[in-house]
Amino acid sequence: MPTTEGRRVGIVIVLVLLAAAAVLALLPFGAGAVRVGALSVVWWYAAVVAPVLAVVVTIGALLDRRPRPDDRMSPASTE
Amino acid sequence: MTGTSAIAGWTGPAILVAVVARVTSGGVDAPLFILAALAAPLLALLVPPPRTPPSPAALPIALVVTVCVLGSAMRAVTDLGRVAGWPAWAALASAVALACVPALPRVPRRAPAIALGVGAVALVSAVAGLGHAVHASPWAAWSRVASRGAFELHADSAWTREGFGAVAPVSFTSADAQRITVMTAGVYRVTEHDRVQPIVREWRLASGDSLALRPGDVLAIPVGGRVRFESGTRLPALAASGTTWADGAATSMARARSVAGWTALVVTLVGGALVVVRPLTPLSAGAVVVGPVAVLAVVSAAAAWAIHAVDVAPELSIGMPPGASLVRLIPTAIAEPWRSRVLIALVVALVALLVGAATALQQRVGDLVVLRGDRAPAALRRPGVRSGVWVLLVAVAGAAGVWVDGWSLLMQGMGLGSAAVLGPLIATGDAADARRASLAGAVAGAVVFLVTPHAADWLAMFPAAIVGLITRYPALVAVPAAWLVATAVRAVDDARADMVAAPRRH
Repeated sequence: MPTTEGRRVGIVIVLVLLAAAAVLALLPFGAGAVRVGALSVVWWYAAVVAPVLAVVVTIGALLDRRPRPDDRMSPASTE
Repeated sequence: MTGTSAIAGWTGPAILVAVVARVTSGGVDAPLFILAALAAPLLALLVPPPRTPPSPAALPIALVVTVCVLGSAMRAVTDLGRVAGWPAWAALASAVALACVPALPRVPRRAPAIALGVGAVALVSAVAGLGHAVHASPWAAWSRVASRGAFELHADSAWTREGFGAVAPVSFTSADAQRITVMTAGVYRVTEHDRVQPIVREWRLASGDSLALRPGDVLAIPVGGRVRFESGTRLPALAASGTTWADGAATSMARARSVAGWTALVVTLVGGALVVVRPLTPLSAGAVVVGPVAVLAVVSAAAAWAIHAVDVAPELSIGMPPGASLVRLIPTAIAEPWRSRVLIALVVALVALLVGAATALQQRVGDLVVLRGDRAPAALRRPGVRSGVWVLLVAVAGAAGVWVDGWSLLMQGMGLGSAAVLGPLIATGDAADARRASLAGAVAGAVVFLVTPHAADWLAMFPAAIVGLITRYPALVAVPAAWLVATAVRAVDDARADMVAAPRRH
């Protein structure tokens, strides 16, 4: 089971990714339209980087991160 | 319902066509829409499953949203069938038949996930085949479009050879002085704007007749009409140039308007995704990975297809239903043997995604009925009755898709879902002791959502741009209203509970 805290962090990060796209689109002097390689900054971010990051963050937040009792190392094994 | 199955409700032809249409239109809206279409279901997946049985409002809202989303998907498939040359009734009947698949007996629970997997793989294969056939990657195609000047018709364009055929009444504003040749007899109307009062002239033209247009003239073509344009003239719609398509408007005010509209769209989509995608039970490890990856694959493939379409034949989407390039690009841009391969992959993708979406939506409604427990009508738990109800829903969705365009239908469904679910969820967090507050917020949000588009006169005190935004996306005011009501009712309930508990403590 993913933790509630993990889900919350995931939601916040995806919302930040969305907000950053709006900020990039509103950058003055058309800075978002500057070409970096094949695409413009806004396209790189909103169509490539942010979607991939959002998917990775979602998977990471939903995967089971809670340590199981069996997985814990015994005090003896740490010595 | 697994997360993968839930995602299948999102990645139907409605979203696919919407992404293709938005990216084809270009501007800064295009990449922002790609991100919104992807982020909305991911946010819904991240929201924990409900800890309490759904409120009495959940099932009616889910039914309305289901009708809207399904109707939008069926309309998208119907439009694509018409663009492909099918009779409208045949295209609609095919869409209805596919949407009725969940009503068949013994459809497995994993059907939506399987259909989504098949659809996503087929769609990515179609885009890869298209890229191979046109010898370009999506980013190379984007770069080529972005460096183009004005979009002009070339000598080898379909519009300058076979001509443009209207599948619905359509109007073009001529960008250049040109002479068009009529290829199908009919009544063609030209509105001239070179005087203070526009002059409308109707021409009954036979095949082979030509008509001179001046810049700014508006040509109205009837259904079934076909005209051939001159090569070298600018396209009558789409962005003025490749740079405008890639970067959008240059003024900061226009960009601010675009971003404001996008913000309202995000609120609408995220709330709608909570109704369509939010898991009702904990996700399996496989669903956690496959669901988000599948939505990324579908949205990215749709965007890549649209970029290729704008690069190869930008005129294909003009004057056509949204997403028309999905059908029209293949015979125009791809030679055999890849033409057949890409066509088969695309047909498989569309069929699988529609079946997946319909099955996912049907399972979701069924799960809500089960979760309602004893409070749901007992008859609804019988398979035969559920199949009958589903066929009825498909019929309503199909009828809605005939009268309302797919995008409006999708926005109505998503907006209502957002208005009724997002505000109460933020206010109460699904707390067990806040069911009354949640229900009150849902009702208030739904009422505000339904009333707002008709309250433009009351909103006249605000700037016209804001009024336009609110009437286009009523969820923008309905969500805060729902949140406010849910918060207030919860505060009242908490205070009442404290008053009742205080004497007992003493």
